[in-house]
Amino acid sequence: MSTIIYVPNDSAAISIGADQVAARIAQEAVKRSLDVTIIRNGTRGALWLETLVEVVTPQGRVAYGPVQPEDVSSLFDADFLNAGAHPLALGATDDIEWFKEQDRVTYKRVGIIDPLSLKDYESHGGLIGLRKAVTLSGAEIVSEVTASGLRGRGSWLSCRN
Amino acid sequence: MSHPSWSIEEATRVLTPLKNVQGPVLIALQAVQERFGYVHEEAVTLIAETFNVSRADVHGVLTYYHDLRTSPAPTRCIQICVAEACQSVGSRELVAAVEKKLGKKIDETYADVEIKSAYCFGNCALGPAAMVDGELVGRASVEKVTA
Repeated sequence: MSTIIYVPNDSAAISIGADQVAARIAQEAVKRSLDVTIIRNGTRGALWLETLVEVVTPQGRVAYGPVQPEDVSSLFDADFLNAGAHPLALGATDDIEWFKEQDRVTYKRVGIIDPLSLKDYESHGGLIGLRKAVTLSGAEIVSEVTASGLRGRGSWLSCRN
Repeated sequence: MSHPSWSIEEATRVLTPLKNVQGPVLIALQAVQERFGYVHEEAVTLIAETFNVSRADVHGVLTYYHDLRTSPAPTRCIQICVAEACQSVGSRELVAAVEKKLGKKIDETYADVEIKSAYCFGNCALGPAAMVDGELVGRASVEKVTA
């Protein structure tokens, strides 16, 4: 089974070598005949931990960082694909203190999902609003928006009328 | 990065697809710079005539944006952020060290390597920030920017 590894594709992460980290992981995996799938996600925002490499293990996502390209081979040696111990190991990503204290709204899925996978988006609550909207009539949508108290959306009512 | 030498004919070809662009001056200047590596002085008149604006308008935009240059591009361009956040993590020292290593002065024109000051690439959390030939470099060091 292919092990999923997340390596951010964010411009800040790239500025300190995320592309080289991803390339080294791919090379090492080939060299060691290991089956990995590298997903380039968004940054989770802890830029001082970039490049933050996450591995999906049976126990959930575990993080390593800040990873430099030259650390990659030692990560494989430490069996990071199975959450192995390493000086850069940060444990379960969700248990990192800085993330635990956050309640994200707009950035909820950034860093969590594969940004190019619609399936991933949907499994994290994507498209729910849109799917509901297509079952409603125009008048129902307008009244939902009005009831929500969202500001700056009044023009849709005037357009309809 | 290699660019053809300046020619009015080639510049006219570059500008033709932009004929119907709204607010074309900046876009035209960028297109010329992308093609030739810099904005030749004859481009000012050409853009003014093409888009029916005054030469003063074109000159104003050209001199306002530091990214637009009026002399041929160097083989390598190292921009170093010298805004507050990067200064606080050593960008002044970085500039001094890069100047010393390359034997060049910041913000002066050279044919081979230029060091340019810049004001914020938005990468403050990973400062000092630099850009080498258009590529963002975080936690910049002499080694990284002159590699």
